[in-house]
Amino acid sequence: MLLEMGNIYIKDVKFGSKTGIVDGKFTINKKELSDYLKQQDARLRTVKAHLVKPGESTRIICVKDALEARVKVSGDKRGEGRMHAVKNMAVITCGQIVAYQEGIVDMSGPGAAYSPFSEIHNVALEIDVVSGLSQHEHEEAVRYAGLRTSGYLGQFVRDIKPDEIIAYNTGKSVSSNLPRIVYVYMVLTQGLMHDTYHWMGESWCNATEEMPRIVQPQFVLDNGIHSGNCVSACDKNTTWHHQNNPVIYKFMSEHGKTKNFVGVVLTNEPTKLAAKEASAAGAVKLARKLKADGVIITEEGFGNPEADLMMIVRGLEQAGIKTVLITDEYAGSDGASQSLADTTPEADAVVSAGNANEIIELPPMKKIIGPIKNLTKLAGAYPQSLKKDGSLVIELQGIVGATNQLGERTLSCREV
Amino acid sequence: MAKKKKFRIVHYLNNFFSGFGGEEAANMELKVIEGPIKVGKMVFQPALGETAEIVATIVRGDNGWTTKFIEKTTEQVISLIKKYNPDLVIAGPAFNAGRYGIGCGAIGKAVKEELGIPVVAGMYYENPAIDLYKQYSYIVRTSDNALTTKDDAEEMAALAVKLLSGQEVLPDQDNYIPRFRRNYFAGKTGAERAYEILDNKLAGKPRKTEYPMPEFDRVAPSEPIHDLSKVTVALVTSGGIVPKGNPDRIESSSAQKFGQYSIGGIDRLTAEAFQTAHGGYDPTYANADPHRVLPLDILRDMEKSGIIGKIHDLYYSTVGNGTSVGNSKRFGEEIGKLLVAAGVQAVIMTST
Amino acid sequence: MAKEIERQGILVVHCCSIVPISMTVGGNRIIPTTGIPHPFGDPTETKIKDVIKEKETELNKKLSESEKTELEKKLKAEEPERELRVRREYVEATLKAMQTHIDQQTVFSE
Repeated sequence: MLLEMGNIYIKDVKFGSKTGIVDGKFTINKKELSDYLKQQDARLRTVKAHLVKPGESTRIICVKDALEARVKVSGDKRGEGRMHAVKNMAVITCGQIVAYQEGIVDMSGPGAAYSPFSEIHNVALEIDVVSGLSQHEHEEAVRYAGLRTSGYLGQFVRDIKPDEIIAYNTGKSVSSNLPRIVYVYMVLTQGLMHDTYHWMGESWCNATEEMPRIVQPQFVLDNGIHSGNCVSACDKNTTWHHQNNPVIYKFMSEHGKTKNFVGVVLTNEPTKLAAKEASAAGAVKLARKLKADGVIITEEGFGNPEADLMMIVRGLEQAGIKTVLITDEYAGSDGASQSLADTTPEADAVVSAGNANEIIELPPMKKIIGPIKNLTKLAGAYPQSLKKDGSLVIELQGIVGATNQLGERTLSCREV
Repeated sequence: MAKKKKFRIVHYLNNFFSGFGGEEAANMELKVIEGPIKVGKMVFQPALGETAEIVATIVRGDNGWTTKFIEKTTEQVISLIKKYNPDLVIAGPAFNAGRYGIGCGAIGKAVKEELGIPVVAGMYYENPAIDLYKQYSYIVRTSDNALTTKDDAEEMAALAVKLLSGQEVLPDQDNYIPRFRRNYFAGKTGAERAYEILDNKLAGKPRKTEYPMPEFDRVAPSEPIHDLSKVTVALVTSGGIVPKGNPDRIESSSAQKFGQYSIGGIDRLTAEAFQTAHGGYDPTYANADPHRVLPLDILRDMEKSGIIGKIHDLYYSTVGNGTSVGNSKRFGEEIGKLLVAAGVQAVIMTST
Repeated sequence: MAKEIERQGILVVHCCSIVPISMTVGGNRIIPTTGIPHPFGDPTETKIKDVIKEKETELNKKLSESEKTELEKKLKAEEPERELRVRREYVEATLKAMQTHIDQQTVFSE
């Protein structure tokens, strides 16, 4: 399978009358974007677009998802052909709270190091919906607005010559001496604000169904998965994270050279025990089918999914497959508590994405994007105090991507 | 040229290691001696060199650390330490001695909390004080007997010097028991680190884990209830069912408290009067019918028909989402105490 | 929490869906329940897909959209009664666990 990614690196983003890219600068007509989105979905009441740049004194709150703008230039099948991606820019959806725990992004200050979005330009869409919608409808409307924006903006790079084209090819025959590695990719599937969607056949499918399954890495890179969950912000995979999965990129860089990357086992995290056991056993079976020698497993979320994670690790190790897992920790704000909800002695190779309970004090920001009056509602979400001067004392839990378990950040945790 | 200021250290020794006597001196009262004595004089002070001086040695008999006296002894020791205005405290080494270890540990906790200066102790890995106090002091690993005193004390002194000069210390390189976990930026991304570990694992090379799996202790199961019709049952939940409006503002994740709510005289939990505060699961089902998390309806019916004796008038609720195990333990202890005092014999605990 | 309460001498029955976690941490009497968002419930929304699959397997054919809608309506109509029944079963199992002597961690499943 061959997928070519053409990356266009944006130098700046601004609002203007004609949407397009000139000399690496992306101009967006915000009214046209907002009209387009409202046209596509009558549930959207207002869409306010903001441009947010790295280093600014800006805080984006109530973030639901982040996405990379992309367009499929050629290729009918998902995972094949050529894709153009707008790099150094993300679309962020935020707005009225749907449910607890929606996160924040700080573009400068001490909080910036904990989120990838502080490092790039963001088109932040503050979205309000019409009244009378159920929480499920509200969530869906905002989610689809994000997906549509990714495609709408992506189309403007269809004819732009990419700054680089990278070929992701797992078709060529690889020496049988190279160890076979598989990526077991767990995604959260636990209801409203806790769901994930994967492309199945002709449409998006909630990841509670048709799982576990084997997919090629290129399928994931070709927008094969999008996020329907954002709570808690620190360890959720935004759509952007799925599109930029660092484990897949790392495996691909070693493929054909030192390892044979034979496939991705996509699996879910159900709420019922029997379903958990079935998914875990299914994932192990697929990894064995791929004749894996070694596996990296990434978890999404925390708490009960650790039961699934440990089941998978146990199953793989008992089958003689070497595993490494990436997980974050909830060791209390003093770091002295038990970090994981479930454990197993076979999990002897763990990468920690950091302790999400660690407290950080974030200074006030000049600009806040989002429903400001809801900051006190955020106070119910995780231990947080909003001081009079606008500074926030919160756990890392509240920052989008802080302890992302795909291993996107360099954050780790150690005994001291 | 200004003379470099020497750091001040206070050293704690027990009755035996200070030379006052063995078990017969275990009751001896607090004593303070100017400057270092015994191992302080023979090993610590030379090892500390010009960096620091032991300005005083505090001695107490081991029985000062028994449950009856520990609080008072800790207060007395702290006031004494404060008088000398030290930059660091050295306690022990206590090797495998239980009471001595507790003393060193309790001093470490109090010094950290009240004075904010580092404490360097020394214990054998099985010393019971370790689990209770390891997060407050730097406990250097020693052998289980005084034959290795010179080596152990020199290691403790070396660690003290590093701490005083602001150098970074880590459990493995400086041979002390890990205190707690702290985030840091590791230079490489998690994905890269995971790949490296996998690479080493596949090649059979040694590699480290960033999180060693813990072990959980066990509690013996309680004796069963013989006569349900006489039992008082209390309800406890981590599913976050609270009165509408969440009056105590229990956090929807990483709960810092639990709530105590009255269900005396209440037969049914309505969607108007109750809700869930838990942010870690789809709340729509619990909000529509709280009985899906707290089965009060069925239990009340059973209480009325005499199947169970009584449902306790108070129920306890917290949110089990991202709540640290440490807090969960604390809530369980406190709730347990309240229930014991109220004469409750059994608890139905529901989790989501 | 369950373990700490029991440590003080009060019998605890832990009703949860994620039994392995309770086992790992050290719960003694464990009752497996329906699902994370609704341990003592059995709402139609979370079971309809499984019920449809079972029906299709039983009849060995795919159900039409209208048949699925009918099935969902039927389940929704009997939901209040069904949930009470399920809830009573779990509570009865809980009370039984309270009266059962055990020497080690026990999961009480039917």
